[in-house]
Amino acid sequence: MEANENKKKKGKVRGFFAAIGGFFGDFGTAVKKGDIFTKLSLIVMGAGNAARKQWGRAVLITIIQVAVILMSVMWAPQYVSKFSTLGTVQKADQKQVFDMATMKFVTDDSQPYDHSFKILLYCIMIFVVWFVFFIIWMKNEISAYKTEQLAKSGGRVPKIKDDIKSFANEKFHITLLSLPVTGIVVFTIVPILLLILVAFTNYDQNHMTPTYLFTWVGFDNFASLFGSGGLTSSFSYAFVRILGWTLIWAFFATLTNFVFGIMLALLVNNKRTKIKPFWRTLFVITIAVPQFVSLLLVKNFFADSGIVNTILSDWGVTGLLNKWGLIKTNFIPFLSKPGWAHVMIILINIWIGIPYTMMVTTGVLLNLPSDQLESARIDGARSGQIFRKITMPYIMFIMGPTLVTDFVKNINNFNVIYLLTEGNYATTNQLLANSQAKETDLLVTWLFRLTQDYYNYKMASVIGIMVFLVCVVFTLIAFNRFIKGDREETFQ
Amino acid sequence: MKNNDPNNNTANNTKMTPRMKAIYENASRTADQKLAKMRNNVSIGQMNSEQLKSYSSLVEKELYARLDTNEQESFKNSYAKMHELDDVERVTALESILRKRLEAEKTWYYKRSDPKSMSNEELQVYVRWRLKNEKRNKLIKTILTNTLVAILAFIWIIPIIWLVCCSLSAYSGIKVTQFFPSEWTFMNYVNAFKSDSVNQFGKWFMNTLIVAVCTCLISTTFTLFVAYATSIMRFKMRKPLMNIGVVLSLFPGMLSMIAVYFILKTFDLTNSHIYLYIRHHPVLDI
Repeated sequence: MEANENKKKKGKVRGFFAAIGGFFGDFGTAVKKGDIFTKLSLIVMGAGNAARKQWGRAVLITIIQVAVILMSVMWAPQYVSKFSTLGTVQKADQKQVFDMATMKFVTDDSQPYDHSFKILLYCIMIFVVWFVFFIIWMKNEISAYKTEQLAKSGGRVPKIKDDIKSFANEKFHITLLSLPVTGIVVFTIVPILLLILVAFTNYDQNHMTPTYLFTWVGFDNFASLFGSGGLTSSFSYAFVRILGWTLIWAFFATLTNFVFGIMLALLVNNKRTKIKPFWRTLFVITIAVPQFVSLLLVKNFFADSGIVNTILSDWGVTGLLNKWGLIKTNFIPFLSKPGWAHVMIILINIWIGIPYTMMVTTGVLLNLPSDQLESARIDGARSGQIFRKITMPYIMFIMGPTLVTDFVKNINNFNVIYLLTEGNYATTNQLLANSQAKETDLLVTWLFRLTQDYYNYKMASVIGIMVFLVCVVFTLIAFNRFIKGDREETFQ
Repeated sequence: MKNNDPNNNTANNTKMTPRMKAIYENASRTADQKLAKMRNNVSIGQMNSEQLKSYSSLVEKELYARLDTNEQESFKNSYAKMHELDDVERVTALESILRKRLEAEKTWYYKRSDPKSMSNEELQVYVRWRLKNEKRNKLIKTILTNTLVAILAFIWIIPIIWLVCCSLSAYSGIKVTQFFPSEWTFMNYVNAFKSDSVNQFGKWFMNTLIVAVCTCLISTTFTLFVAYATSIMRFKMRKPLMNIGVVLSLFPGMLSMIAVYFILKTFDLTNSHIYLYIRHHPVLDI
């Protein structure tokens, strides 16, 4: 069984490479066996189409080719040539001129200078365009060869009208996907590439563009994250600490929400519970208030001089805890001391997250296969048995995969941590403070503070890549271990 | 709550033999009730010496019948000591021992899970007793469940209540000493619809509306496109495309948001709505 699955997996990977290989193979055949016009369309991309009298296609492809060539010749070189250094002329080094308006010396804007970030960004965009053009170029060659074969065998050569028609029929998916995919490339893939590259530069507060330049430093940032001594050794310490807490947090946040959410759903949907819709509504109200508002509110609720502390000290609870030596202050540091804050964050997250799980589980419970329940009852199963053998497996079947995605979401759960601890939690750990981290930080909140308050983009990018790797590892393990196969099979 | 279970009414409808009735009554009574009946509902303090004597012998008899030989032996020893006590104290002590026995007996008799060993009459009584008990247990369980849900719901809405209270408070900050504001006002709501140079609520409402509507339209359209293409249609790149979507979602969105901010800054597009419209990830929204 397992071997079979492995084979399937290997087959998938092999299939992927086989597809790429096939693509290149087709291209090779087209170049080798094509006639003069097909060969010519390697240089003039419209040649093959023009030879088969596909004028519409020929014009279109020529326009694309001319546009890309113009871009590559007229605009691209000024950036691509500087890609290896990311610029040499620094604005800050330039002559200072006296500005009459502000009565200050400022750098001379009229002189040309290099903007490292612009160079990096434009280079990535140019590379993406070139990569896409390269594929179009190969595709064009293959299709030129196909059309040649078609023309030779006396078939009807598709005209531009047929092409347009095919985009509404058998190639409809291309019409549908072109816009979204373009959006993803521009707003997701380009930024990700950018950040991956920034991780290999020294882009930080000392190298802020446009005044200063940054440049490539190789794996230095990764080295400082994994502790190669020097001034930045605190980064490796902070990274290990924060990674540990991130994983602990993700584990407990996911587990508590899952378990207690299901328990609450079972309680609310119990046959003994009256006015179920009313209770459900009360729990769901917490979702209706934006997290941004409710979390800031809860933060004030549990603040050092907040309402909970006031009430508890009035009741004498604070004094009692003080006497027992559990706290050293005259307030309970719910969100301002390590340990307390960690537990409170997980508890508050229960308050935030349970209603969501409850809603989903309620949906699952209402869709329980009633015929199975009935036959189980007729067979004399006790309610405990029904729960263990039917209800729980059914809930797990539907909600099991969400455990994995929830875990990854919790690794990146910015809102809860940031809104609850920002402003009222200060670390006393010198090593963490050196790398701008706190005990309660997740990798993402640390990353956010590094970029937002300290402009340390290089380390933020490295941490971002690490977060990505952690997420990938857990997702892969989870999907291979717990969720076997394609899940397209039905519940048994 | 209506219970249409036909078995439930049998206790009243069918005719009971005297023996069945006795077992039934015995079973449904608590130990205290049984003892009270033995005393004819007179408390020990109020009894005269004759009543006390007959009651004492009755209790002794009942107790003795429930002891095995070893226990009878040890009971005799302790009973000898009891003669030092006066009558009232002795009867009270005996009664408390018998009460314990009766309670244990009831649990043992009616909670044993093997009704097969019961005689026919006992079985019928047992069924009635169970039904009656279950009805009471059900009520207790219902009350407990609903109370639990109510408590939980209350915990869940405390912050929301506080939110409403804060919004109705005349105090301009967040008051930390009192849960309910000392002065109530609706002015905060009135002010939310007034605009001045600092708080341009009107403009902010409009911004929210525009962004919400545009995001909704664009992301719904894109999601529909992608969802239709990946779920209904079958083409070569379908699986790879979906896998790429999953992998891309694992990259921290926070980081790419910062990158997108820089990209927009490079193009002078910050402080516009454009990123808000497009930040949705169509492949992942499916």
